[in-house]
Amino acid sequence: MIAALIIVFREVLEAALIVSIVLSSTRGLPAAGRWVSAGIAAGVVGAAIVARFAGLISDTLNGYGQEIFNAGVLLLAVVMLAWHTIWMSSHGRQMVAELRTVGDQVRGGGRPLYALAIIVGLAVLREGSETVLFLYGLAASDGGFADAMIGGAAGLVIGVTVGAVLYLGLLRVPTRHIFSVTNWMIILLAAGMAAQAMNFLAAAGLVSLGPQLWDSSSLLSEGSIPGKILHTLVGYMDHPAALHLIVYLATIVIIGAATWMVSNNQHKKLAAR
Amino acid sequence: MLQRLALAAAALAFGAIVSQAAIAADAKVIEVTIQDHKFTPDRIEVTAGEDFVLHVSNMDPLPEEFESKSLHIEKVIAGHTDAKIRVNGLEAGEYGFVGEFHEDEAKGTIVAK
Repeated sequence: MIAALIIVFREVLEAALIVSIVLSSTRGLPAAGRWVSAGIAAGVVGAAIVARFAGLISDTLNGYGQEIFNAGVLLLAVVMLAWHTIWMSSHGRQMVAELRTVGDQVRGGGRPLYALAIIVGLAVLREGSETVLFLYGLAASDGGFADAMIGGAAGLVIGVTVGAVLYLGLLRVPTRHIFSVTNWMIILLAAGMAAQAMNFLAAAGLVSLGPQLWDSSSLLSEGSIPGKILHTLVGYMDHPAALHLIVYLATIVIIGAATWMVSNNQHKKLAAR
Repeated sequence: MLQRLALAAAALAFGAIVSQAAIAADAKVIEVTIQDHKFTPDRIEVTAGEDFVLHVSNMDPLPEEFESKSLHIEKVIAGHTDAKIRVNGLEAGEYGFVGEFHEDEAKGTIVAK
């Protein structure tokens, strides 16, 4: 039961942290909650499907199907996070400002937030499929069903609670700072995911990670809970290779520059009015 | 504008991958078996600096996840299937791995010399 609790907690934690950050980044936008819920639901269904066909996925692409799939999911999430950040810095700010003046009339309508749903869906899908496989394995072993259910439920509750704590913490950030705070969090989140995607590409033999840069596992192990949280939030790795750092920094620079350019343009447009 | 930026980012990422694709050449294959949640062999010796491929066969009916934090590997292997895991040349040293779904029993070490 403890094993089920720990594994489910670890997987749920990652998804929950991602959901909290994107949810707080869209604070004030109508229907954001609905798009996030849709994303979670789609992610759960997708996770079950992926788990069901795990063997098949693994066998495709020369036996490296799983790696390419995981890398693809991560990189798609990175692109969506980039898009989300850029979109929020151009339209989001303005929309939230307008909503505040127009008030509740607009609420319930709102623009479709596909990117939001996709990001959340991918996060749940990735973490969820492993959880499903593990719980299935446990439930299928002798007398493991109750263990899997109770441990899994407890892990789920604790994971979601940590996500909720982060969300509530972010809600306390003053409104005028919330965009820059969540923008940076999302950029770091994306950078960490991009770096992690390299692991899967390397396992498939598509890239070479290069030499290890340092080992800080004695200071803060990536396997510990704080290490795991930092790994999800800012992409912390206790012994990164050269490629991890290059991809991490490149992602920050690309998304940061694009966001800056777009929001700069927006300011000029507003000023010209 | 936004679409174009997103596309450009995706293209950049993809370009980086494809340009590296040539690295995947043939490498030594090492057979590893999972049975009753245990790895055989559980101690694998490799030559430092040489790429190799772990060919892991899961004889159990249940899925297992081959995980090594020190090697940046995590791979789910469904019951009664096998999987290939590619590892780039290692510096001399010991690298632990576990079956994440049965971490207490499924343990092993790769020794690079």
